[in-house]
Amino acid sequence: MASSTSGSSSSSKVVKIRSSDNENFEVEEAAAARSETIKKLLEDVGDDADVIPLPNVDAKTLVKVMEWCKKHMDDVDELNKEEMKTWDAEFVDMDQSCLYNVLLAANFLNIKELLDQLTQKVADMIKGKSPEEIRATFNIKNDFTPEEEAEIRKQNAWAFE
Amino acid sequence: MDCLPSFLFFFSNTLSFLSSQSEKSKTARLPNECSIQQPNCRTIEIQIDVLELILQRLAFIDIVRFRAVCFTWKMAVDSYISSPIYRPFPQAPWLLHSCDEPKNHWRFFNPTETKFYNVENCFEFVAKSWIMGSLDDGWVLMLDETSNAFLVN
Repeated sequence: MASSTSGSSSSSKVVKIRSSDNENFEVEEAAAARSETIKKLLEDVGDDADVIPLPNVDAKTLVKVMEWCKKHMDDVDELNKEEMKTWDAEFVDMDQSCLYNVLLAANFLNIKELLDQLTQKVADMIKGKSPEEIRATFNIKNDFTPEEEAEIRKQNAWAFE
Repeated sequence: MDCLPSFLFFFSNTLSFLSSQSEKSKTARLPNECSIQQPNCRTIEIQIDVLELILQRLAFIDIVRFRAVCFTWKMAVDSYISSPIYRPFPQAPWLLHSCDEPKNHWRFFNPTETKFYNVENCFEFVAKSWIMGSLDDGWVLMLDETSNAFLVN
């Protein structure tokens, strides 16, 4: 028995979700349903749902993700588009570890628009950088052997000048 | 070939340069191995499908550098560029600026980065050739010294 999951008519309805570190949150259903994963779960369990557990998302990340979902709960009219663009740009401007967690959460929760914004942000952070600069930006360990790295660079030496 | 005219040249298929090398690099190493080595380095645990979403937003030159970051990222590139979903990211065409014949370097200008790249030997299989024109999906029409025409991808 599917409950109403979208539109302003359901905006007053609240769903409970639980983070991986066992914190419970009450979120408006219209906001939570921005996540295809949660939306599907709600449709499957209907009104019987007590708390929806999200074992892959910690509380801090969930707060951030739900902040985005709330903002994007309603359709944006033309007038507010610019304002929303600014808000989105500020939203994705977060530190690297937070960005990483929210990116994985958006992927797990299947929130396409948020995933698009975050992958664009990461792509923008990569553009024009050398492999060394990319590693420093994202705190990535170079796990190639010196021989492997030399071979990879040799294949396209011109790209690393 | 000494006074080659400059013309617009789409370089989007340059990834074929690196795909030829990718097969032999596929070793028995598992993708999770690097996250075991470096448990604090969580970015490399990003699933390949998320890395592919990022790759879809990068120009080929950034993909070439992306591939040299770490083992998992290299695997993501090799799998992405050989998959049916791979589409070169729309980008401004590179300008083929000149050819340095003694060194066999072709000099390309990338207007997006306002930067020159010296690419070695990229047309060496057609000796003494002239470039007649190019198409925006990476094909180049070349003529060799006996006027045989070649279409090069």
